[in-house]
This record gives sequence, C-alpha cells and structure tokens, in this order.
Amino acid sequence: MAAETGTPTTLTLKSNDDELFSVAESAAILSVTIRNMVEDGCAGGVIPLDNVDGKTLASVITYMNGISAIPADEEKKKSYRDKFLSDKDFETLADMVLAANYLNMSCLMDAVSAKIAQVMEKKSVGWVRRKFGIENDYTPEEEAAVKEEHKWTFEGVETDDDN
Amino acid sequence: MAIPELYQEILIDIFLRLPAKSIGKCRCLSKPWRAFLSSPEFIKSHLARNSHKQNLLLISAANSIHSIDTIKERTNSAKIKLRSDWLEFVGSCDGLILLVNKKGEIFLVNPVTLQQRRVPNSPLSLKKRFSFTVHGFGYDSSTDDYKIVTLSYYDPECEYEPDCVDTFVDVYYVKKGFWRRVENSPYDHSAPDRASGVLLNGALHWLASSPGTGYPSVIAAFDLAREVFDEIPAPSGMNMDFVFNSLHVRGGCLCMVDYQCNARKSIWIMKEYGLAESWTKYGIGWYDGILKPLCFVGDEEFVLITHEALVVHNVKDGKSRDMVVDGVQDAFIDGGIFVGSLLSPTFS
Repeated sequence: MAAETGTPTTLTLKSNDDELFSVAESAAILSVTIRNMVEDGCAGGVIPLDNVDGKTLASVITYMNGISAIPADEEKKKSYRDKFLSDKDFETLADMVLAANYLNMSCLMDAVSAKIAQVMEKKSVGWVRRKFGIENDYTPEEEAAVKEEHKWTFEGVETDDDN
Repeated sequence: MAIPELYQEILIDIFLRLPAKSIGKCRCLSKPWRAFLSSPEFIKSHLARNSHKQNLLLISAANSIHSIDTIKERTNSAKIKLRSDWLEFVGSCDGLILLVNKKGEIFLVNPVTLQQRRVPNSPLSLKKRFSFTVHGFGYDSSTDDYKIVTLSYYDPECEYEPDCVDTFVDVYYVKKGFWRRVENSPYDHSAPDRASGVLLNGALHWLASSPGTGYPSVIAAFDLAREVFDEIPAPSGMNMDFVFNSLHVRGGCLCMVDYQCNARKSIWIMKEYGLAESWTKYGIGWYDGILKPLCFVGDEEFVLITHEALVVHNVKDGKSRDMVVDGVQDAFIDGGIFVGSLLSPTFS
C-alpha cells in the first residue's frame, strides 16, 4: 500500500477476452479471490481473471467502485445494489452471478441471486428450462401429470411467449 | 442434470430464495429436479431460509379463507381453494395452519400447496353441547413431531356433568397420527376469553387463573416436549383481570395486549422469556371497540378486528389505519400469520 504518499494503489485486471481494467485496490479487494492474490503478493503485474469476460468484468468493477464509495451504511449499500441491478437483463445477471461466485464476492452474489429469484418467480416452466439449460426428461403424459399435481403453483404464472 | 456442477450449486441457492408457490413450478422442470425439490432436506432448508417472511391468513365472514402477502391499506387477497365453513384460526407452525370449521372439526392445512388433513376427534373428547374446548398447535423438536393440544372442560352450567371441574388435556401426535390424554391442567381455563394457545419457545401459552387463594391470573405454558404446564409470571402491577387481555408473540417475545373498553390501552412485552422483571409496558392509543386482536405481523404492525373494520395499528408511530381487502373493510372474523412452506400436513 502506498499509504505514505496518499496515492491509492491501483491494480490491473485482465478479462478472459484480454481486456485490461484499472481499479483501485481498496475497491478490488471486495473480491476475496483478488484479495488473496494481493496478500500472496501475486498482484504485482496484471491479474488474470480467466472466468470473467470483459463486459461482465466492466460491470463488476462499476459495482466495486460504487459500493466501496458508500460509507458503512447497510441501508444505503442495499439501495445502491437494488439500483445497480434494476436494469440488468437475465443474461447479464447470470453472467454476474457466475463472476461473483468466481471472484468470491458474497454481497454481490447474494444480491444477484435474490434478483434472479425475483425475475424467475412468475416465469413459466419453459422459460426456466431454457434459461438454465435444464433438459426436460418428462414424457408429455408425465409432464401433464406433474403439472396437474402441482396445479396450485400455476396461478399468476406468465404465459410462455416471452423470450 | 444438464447444468455444470458449479452452476447447479448456484441454482439451488436461487431456488431456496423462491416463494414456496414457485417451487412447485420448478418441480415440473425435470425428474431429477422434482426429486430434489421434493426431498425433506430441501423442504426443511427452504423453510429455514424463508421463515422470516410472514403472510396473513384471514377467515371471511362467509367462512372462506384468504391469504395476504403484504400488509397495506388497500390490498388484495388470494382466496384459498380449500372449502369448508372455516370459523377459527388456531395457530400456525412451519407453514401448517390448524383451522376449526363450524362443526368443530379440526384440519391441518397448507394454504400454499392446498393440502389439507382432517384431524380425527380425540376418542375422549367431551360432547360439544356440554363442554368448552380450546386448541393449540406447535412443534416439539425433541421428538421431531408436530403436536395439537386440546384443553376441554365441562360447561359449569351444564346438567350433564355438573360437578366435574377438571380441565382435560389431550395431545395429538401429527406424524404418528394418534391422540393421548396427559395429566389434567392444574389451571382454570374458563375465566378469560377462550383463546387458542400461543406458540413460543416450544410451549403453548394460555391466559388462565390459578386455583390458589384469590384465583390469581397466570400465564400457563404447556411444554410440548415434557407435556406438562409451567407457570410464566404475569406483569405485576397490571389489572389482573384477564378478560380483556390477549396473548401474542411479537418479535420473538411474549406480549399481552390490554384492550379494555374506556381504559388506556397498553401492550406489555416480556423482553426476556420467563423473567418477571422483564415485562415492559407500552401505552398505545387506538380504536375503541376492539372485538378481537389478531396478531403481530413483523415487530410493528398489529392487526385487529373492530366493530367497523379490519385495522392495522402501528405500535411504533401509534397510528392506526383501516385495512381494505378486496375493496371490503369488515369482512373478516379471524386470522393469523403463517410462513409459506412446502411441508405437507400428511407427512407422506
């Protein structure tokens, strides 16, 4: 740390599609994965993040900077997270949850998972299968039977015509 | 499953956050997911994760049941498609609700999965015409079973059994499916309003009076594991006539609401369970003519029924407001809180 001069230390992060990002160390160490690298002295040069693409990493860094600028006030942090995630589509959220998992950022992981659950809540079975790559191994008869058995679940579910 | 190992773990974490109702949908995804999301382990984890989310169940004047997931001035309810002439909300535990219908039959109901189970009467139950009965419902972690507790005593006015003043205690073991009569209650349960048992800390609580000198009012706590009554000290210095008091749970604490007519209304909260000195009194100003205090939803909102309306009283800011459900103000006769869970009342 360059505490003496007051200049914040900057880290360089590299995405798996070779984009480079500069980020203040104080913000980047929200990621336990990055913090461990820094503590082990591996952060001298460029930190390669093999599981995160540039688009997602840019978003994560926006989050890192935004949330670390907020003083220790859980309510303000929560409202920042809500706002940050409010305009993200499902694909972005899915990329972010994987990135947050890889980077070991529990607060982001928690917020994104909650957001995905909220998006999923009223979606159809077909939508969930497509978005999560779940293979339907029911025969049509079996599927009709399991749906009949779970009739209570289908009130208020969106019809299966959205992306 | 067609999902990479890593992704699957994340997906399970997301599923655990879904309301119980949406889990049913996810069981239709595929056979492996159905098996996983139906397992007792998943149902238990889901309950633990969601037990802080409280819903309100109300019984309408037309004796149908309705659920409300957020308390606000104007709200809509979902009518629950379980038909009977519902009369009384006894209590709820882990998403199962014990309800009584007009015939006095008791049912365990999961209002989310719409499963219900008629609980048979105790073979020793007293004839309805000549007796009074109150119930309680809770969970005994020592035996991992749910228990229904029924207190019954002969109507002192009745000619059928005029000299019997015993209060019989019958326990129904929900998973095992049988009734057992345990030792009589040493308390007189006839004086106060015949309310259902209030579940807290593995015990069902009733306002009662002690048979000792002067019939002092007490809180009788039936320990669900030991199946005996303990006495919880009542607040000292309050009017000890319990007729216009009701017992509730608020923020994990036992609390007593004093709703006497023409008197300053107050709430007593027992901040440390069992500790007499921890009773703390809060003055509250609210509606006259409270017919029935229902329950706390969260720590602040108290739902009650008055002559004119369903009212939500906020104990923090002292303000009350009418609650209009489906455009109607006064259409409810009883209710209580429950959590949405996937637990089946049949345990099959």
